[in-house]
Amino acid sequence: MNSDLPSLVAENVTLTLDTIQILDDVSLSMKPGRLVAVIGPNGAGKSSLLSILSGLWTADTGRVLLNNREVGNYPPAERARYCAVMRQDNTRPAGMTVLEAVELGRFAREAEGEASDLAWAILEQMGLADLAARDCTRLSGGEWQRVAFARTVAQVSSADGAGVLLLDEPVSSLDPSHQHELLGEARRLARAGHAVLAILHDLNLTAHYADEVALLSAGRVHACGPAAEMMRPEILSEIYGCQVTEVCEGGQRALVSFPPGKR
Amino acid sequence: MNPAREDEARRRGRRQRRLCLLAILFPVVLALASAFGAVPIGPAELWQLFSGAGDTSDVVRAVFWDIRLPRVLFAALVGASMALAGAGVQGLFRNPLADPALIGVSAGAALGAVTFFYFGWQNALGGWLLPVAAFTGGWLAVIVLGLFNVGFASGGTAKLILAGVALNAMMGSVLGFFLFSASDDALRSMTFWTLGSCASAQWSQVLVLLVFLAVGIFLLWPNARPLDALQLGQDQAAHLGVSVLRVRLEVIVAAALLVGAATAFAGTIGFIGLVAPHLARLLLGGLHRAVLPGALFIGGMLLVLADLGARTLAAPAELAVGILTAAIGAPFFLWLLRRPSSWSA
Amino acid sequence: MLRPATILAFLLCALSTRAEAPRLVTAGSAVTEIAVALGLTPQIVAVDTSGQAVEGMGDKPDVGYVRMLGAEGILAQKPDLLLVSGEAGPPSVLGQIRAAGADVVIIPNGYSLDDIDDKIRTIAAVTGRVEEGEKLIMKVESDVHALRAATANHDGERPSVVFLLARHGGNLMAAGRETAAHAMIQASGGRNICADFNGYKPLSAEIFAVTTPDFVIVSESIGGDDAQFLASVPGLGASSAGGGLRVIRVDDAAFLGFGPRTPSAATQVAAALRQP
Repeated sequence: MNSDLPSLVAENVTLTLDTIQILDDVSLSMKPGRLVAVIGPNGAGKSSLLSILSGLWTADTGRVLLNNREVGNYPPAERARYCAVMRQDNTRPAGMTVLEAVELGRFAREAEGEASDLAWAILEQMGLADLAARDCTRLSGGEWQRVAFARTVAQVSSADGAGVLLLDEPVSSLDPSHQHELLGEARRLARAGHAVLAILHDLNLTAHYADEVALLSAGRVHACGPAAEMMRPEILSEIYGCQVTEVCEGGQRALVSFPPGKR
Repeated sequence: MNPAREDEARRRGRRQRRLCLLAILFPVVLALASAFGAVPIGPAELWQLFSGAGDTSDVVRAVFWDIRLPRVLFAALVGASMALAGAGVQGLFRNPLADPALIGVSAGAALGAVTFFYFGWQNALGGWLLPVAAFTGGWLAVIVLGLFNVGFASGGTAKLILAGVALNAMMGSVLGFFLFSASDDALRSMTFWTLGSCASAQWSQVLVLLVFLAVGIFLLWPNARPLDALQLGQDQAAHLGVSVLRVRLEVIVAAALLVGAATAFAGTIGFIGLVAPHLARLLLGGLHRAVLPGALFIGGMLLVLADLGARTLAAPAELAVGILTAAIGAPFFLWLLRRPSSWSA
Repeated sequence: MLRPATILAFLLCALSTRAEAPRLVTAGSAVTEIAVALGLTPQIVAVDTSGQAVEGMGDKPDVGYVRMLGAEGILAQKPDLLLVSGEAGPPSVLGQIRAAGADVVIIPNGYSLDDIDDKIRTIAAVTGRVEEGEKLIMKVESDVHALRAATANHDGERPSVVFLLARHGGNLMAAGRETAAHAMIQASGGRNICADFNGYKPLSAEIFAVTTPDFVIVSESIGGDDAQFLASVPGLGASSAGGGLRVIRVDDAAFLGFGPRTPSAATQVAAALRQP
């Protein structure tokens, strides 16, 4: 019995939708304390993988284990206590404040209205306190993305153990400074014992914040391993099909992609 | 304390106060509505009616206890049922234009009723067969929608809405056929049934409506929080721990029960199911813990007031209540929409 | 039509025979017409919308459309007796009125001239006006005899007729079988060209493609002259140009109501149908 240690493991997962093979024999493992980044070209199957990992979809073959138990066997409310998901596509609730939206993260844990102190603390910690009373429909895209992240954090905050966080492109609408802030917070959560997975597109952010990187391409795990080994120009150039180069500036390394045909 | 948190606390306080105000206003409106009618009953006489003292005439007693009071309660219950169903369905579909009619229950009920008019059975079993037929029709429509719709079990609400639109169109064409081939007499009865009315209210119907409203509340109240979560999208709600299918099933069953019963007795009364939840949201914000009771109170008051107009404005003649629900509700609705910051100030 | 002197005589008779005349509410145009013809005018405290058009009823309170009566509105008129035609409703409202102590008598509708006698007889009986009732029946029956005489020695084929009803919105409905209009066309010696369907149907030009009617019967409330009206009917514009088609305008309450004025209205139509 190790329910204190969050883990999410996908074993040989395949998925076919309308005769199109979306995922092909994908295995992936999330451990407490680690931030795993999943990167890969559009259509590689990243979001589908997230839907399967979160238990929303069922794989055709293979299995997904959340804390050593098949994810499909959890009742939704119990699953939500161990595994929080931040999706890209969530719509904004009209007539609901930021604080209320963050409180919704506690749906599976507390009755309505009992989580407002916790939600407030998280908003303060993320620098969102000033927005607390704002209607969700009156936020900018980036602000709403940060609120969604705050809600996801609220969902796994617990005195009785860490959880699993699945983040689908959590920084896609953020300015550079907030990208660092959000991913920095994600990494802090990992260090605090949570198991974190983020789908990312920004190569430098991936290289900087991820502990491990899974390269997904055409539904298969192309490679998986420590970030330092995965984020190499020749590997990335191959899976993205465009030239990725590493440049050094004052001791800092950065990955840069150029338009095709130019160099 | 951070000003935003104070704002938020103020907002919660305001919501509580407004909800309390609606809860107080509701019985007040009912009481006022029962004081007015074509037969003038003064305050002194009303007191005598309740206390049993004095010597009120038999006619006044019959008018108040057997005609006016059941009618006011009937209107309140029908309005409350339509509005509560509307609030549930709008929350479920995350669509402010969603109407309980969308799940086919109104058209099904109309079809059930019109079938009875067509064959001239409307007075069978002391008039109770007609509401049963309307209710059954409404339920059949919802079940057909459930059976045909793959999206009912999985997939998006858009599919469910489209299936509802198609089902409504189908039933509309059958309804049109009945209307086309009906005798002149049946046609007129059908037309008046579809206009909606509270004129035939009886205590027995009030009792039945009360039971259905109680069941509707019982099914919807525990789903208030899940409906809030659903506003983030179906998938996100599932990630938060909502059993989306169960919520859908319970809300649709509740809406079908509420609208089915209300339509069966009162005919098709539009507008309230659409507008009362909106009014509730404009006054109380988006949380269903407030929207559901708010819509219930507003819908009840709206129909009581509309029916008060229907029975007094042209007295001794009756006006069609459907005309008045829109006439009372729509300007109020537009006024609230126009106010730049009705809630989220 | 009854002369004022007759009404006065009835009135005096009524006052002399009963100490307290029951207050009446009537609904349905034929019922109201009969009640008025029986001299019950002073007792009638309210009528339905259709009754407003009946002589002397214009200033009585209007209890609304006969199918959409309201219990409290009617009870506010403190009636002792409600006389309503068969279509009156809703039934539960009639039940509530009964429960509140007023008598409700429903006079069945029928699309036969013989039914008029039954209506008169019933109303006369419940209002204690048997004598006046018999007089009215005799008058109606003599009108019916006149009508039969007008249509009996009619040679050759019956003229073809269509009855058009203008619904709001301007669209016209043609009367098929099982309508008062159909029965009246028959009684007036005409032949309804729309006898192959039931009830009122929206008029389509195709009806006239099969048979062109000799006569169009419409309500006198329709505005414009005959040529204007015919031009507005789809499918008739062409055939009416020949001049063979004629328009008969009727008082629809009299023609379709199956009340005391109906036989003479039919006789007038019968005469119009026989004009060369």
